[in-house]
Amino acid sequence: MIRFDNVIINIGDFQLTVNMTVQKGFVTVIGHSGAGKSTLLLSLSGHQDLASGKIFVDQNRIDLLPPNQRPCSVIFQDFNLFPHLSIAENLNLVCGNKFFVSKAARKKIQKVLEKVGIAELIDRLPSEMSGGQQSRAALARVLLQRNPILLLDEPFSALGPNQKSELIELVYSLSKEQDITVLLITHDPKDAKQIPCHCIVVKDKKALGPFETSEALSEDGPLKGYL
Amino acid sequence: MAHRTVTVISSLFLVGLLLGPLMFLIHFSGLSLNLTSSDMAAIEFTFVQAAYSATLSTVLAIPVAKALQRQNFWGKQLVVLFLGAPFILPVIVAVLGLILVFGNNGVINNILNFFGFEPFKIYGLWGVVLAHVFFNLPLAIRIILQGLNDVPGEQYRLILSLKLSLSQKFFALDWPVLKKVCPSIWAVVFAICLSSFAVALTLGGGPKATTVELAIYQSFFYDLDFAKAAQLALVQVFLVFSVVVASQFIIRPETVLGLNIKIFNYSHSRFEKILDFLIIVVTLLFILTPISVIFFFGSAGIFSLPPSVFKAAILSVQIALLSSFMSVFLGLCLTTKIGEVVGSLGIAVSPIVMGAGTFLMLKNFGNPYLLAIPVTATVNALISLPFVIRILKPPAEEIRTEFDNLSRAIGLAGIYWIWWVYLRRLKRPIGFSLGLAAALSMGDLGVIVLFGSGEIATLPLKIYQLMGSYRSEEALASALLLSLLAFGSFAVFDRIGRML
Repeated sequence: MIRFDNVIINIGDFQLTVNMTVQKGFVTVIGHSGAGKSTLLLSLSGHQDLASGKIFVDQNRIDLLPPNQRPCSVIFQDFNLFPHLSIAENLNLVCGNKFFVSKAARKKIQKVLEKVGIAELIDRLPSEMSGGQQSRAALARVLLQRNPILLLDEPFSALGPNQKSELIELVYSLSKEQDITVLLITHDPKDAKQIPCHCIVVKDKKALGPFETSEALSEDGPLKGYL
Repeated sequence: MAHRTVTVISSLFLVGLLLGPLMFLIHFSGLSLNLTSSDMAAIEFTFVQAAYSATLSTVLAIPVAKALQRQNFWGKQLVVLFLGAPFILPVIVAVLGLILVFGNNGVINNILNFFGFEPFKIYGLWGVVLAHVFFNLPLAIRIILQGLNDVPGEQYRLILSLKLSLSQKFFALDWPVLKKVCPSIWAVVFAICLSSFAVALTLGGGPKATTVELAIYQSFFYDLDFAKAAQLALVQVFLVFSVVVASQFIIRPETVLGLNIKIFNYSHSRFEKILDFLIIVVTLLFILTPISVIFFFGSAGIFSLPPSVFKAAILSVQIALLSSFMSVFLGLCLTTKIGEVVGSLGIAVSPIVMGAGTFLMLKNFGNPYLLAIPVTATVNALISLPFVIRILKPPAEEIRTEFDNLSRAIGLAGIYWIWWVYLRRLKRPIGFSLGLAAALSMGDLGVIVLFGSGEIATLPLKIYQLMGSYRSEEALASALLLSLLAFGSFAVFDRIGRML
């Protein structure tokens, strides 16, 4: 359970207010460009400071912790992998940060890559892979991090509709299997319809919800005017 | 945060290194400034030679850059590459080459003699100016060429479609660029020439052609008048610092707008084409002939050089290695705005000034000559530091911008971040910087003249000693060896950076 307790985030003139409790499961975050969807996620991951308020995960206050000590993994829109490191080296960074990839770490990495379907690409550089494969590699790193919350800041927006749909399915099944709470930012209401999930709507400088997807996407729902 | 701490610590260390010798100079000067007429003459000469050098370098660079921009020909990239050669060419080698070409028995004077003209006097003001133009003309050409190439292609299309006259085209296209870049180039070259030492040492001298730097050396080395040396050193710091501050008002930031679609058809007349090629060929001859003659005349004696030359060469390599690693290490710690400002202080405090201050400082504790190698390496490292920071800062800033979120998200920090991200991403600029710093140190004839002796001599100092004792053949062969070492070290480090 994630609880935003009277959270206010200021970025220049922009202000976002969040006061909500998000239960375990898959949640999409929808809103128009510039509404503050990324700001909401970044405040949770620790990349954006709060002006006031508190954030709790289960009963633990996390808003004072640095990003790497929060129970969250993030996949950003871009720069999710270091382009000069192979996939094994990229993933090794969350396996204890050693100066080299040990045999044990490589074995562990191989295993998660199998889960996301790119085990054969372990020694490739990101530039030698497609956008979808890179997203899978970033997802594999999330599995290695073993955090209970996964934040997805539109990481699949540059992919084609089929690839995007496939990856959302993959994230959904992995989240079920590993018991991970997922917050997925999307512009496309179709993404929310694709899987059983709840929906947070960000508009008018506020984060609203979570709603049942059907409620959020209904004609008189909070997304009225956006759909 | 961690990077800021590293920058602050390194900046304090650097300021200490620079200010320590300065403080000793102030102490030694007795806080008095008794400038004699010969000191005033040195100050005047310093300004005059720097003004001539800066003006000639800037003015002559304009037609060359314009010709290079207008003409597209096979090998153009190579020509631009050759223009970078004087930057890493040791000063003493260039001076030897210039003496061979423009000296009393050189090709130019033979031609002038044949046609009954007055010979060109290489020793004195014009020789100093000639050497400075040799070093700075390529720099000016490259900066102007970059400025001209940055003009958006759309602007060229528009102007060329209007069928304007040559002068109208010049004022519409080139004048705005020149107005912007030329004052900056003039200021930079002026500042460089103000603290030029090795050129003045070899081609200047005497009451009419002594720069302040040379006067410091003479007070130090010949008159053993340390107080006078300290006073002159403070004058030098004041002069350079004033120019550096003043130049901040002249140098304007670059702004380029447009899609920058390159235009390759400038539709110029046959006359323009011939003129452009003539300009390019003459410039190449001016740059490459002094280098070529060293290779030509020096190769014969390279295998019969005395062991003392090889000993000096080994010392030069050792100092260059030490100095380049120090410079790049400091550079990596100073890849921020503050770091760049602090790192550039080395330009204001010249090697001779730093050397003189350090010498006086060490004299209080023991024999300064015993520390010749570490002092020379440190001063050389500080001299190349501004260039190293300039190379490393942009990619380092890019790394911090692009990968900060990712690094923080996965908790990659400290030594692991340096290992996996910083060093790996920067290996090419690090290789390039190491090469540049090594080449600059290899050719330096600055602080070593204060600390060096018969026993401890770097290769440039050895060449200077050979020149002084009229052992021309050995000097030429040693100059070739020094050139090979300077260019070789640059090439090796640059290659390693690319290969890793």
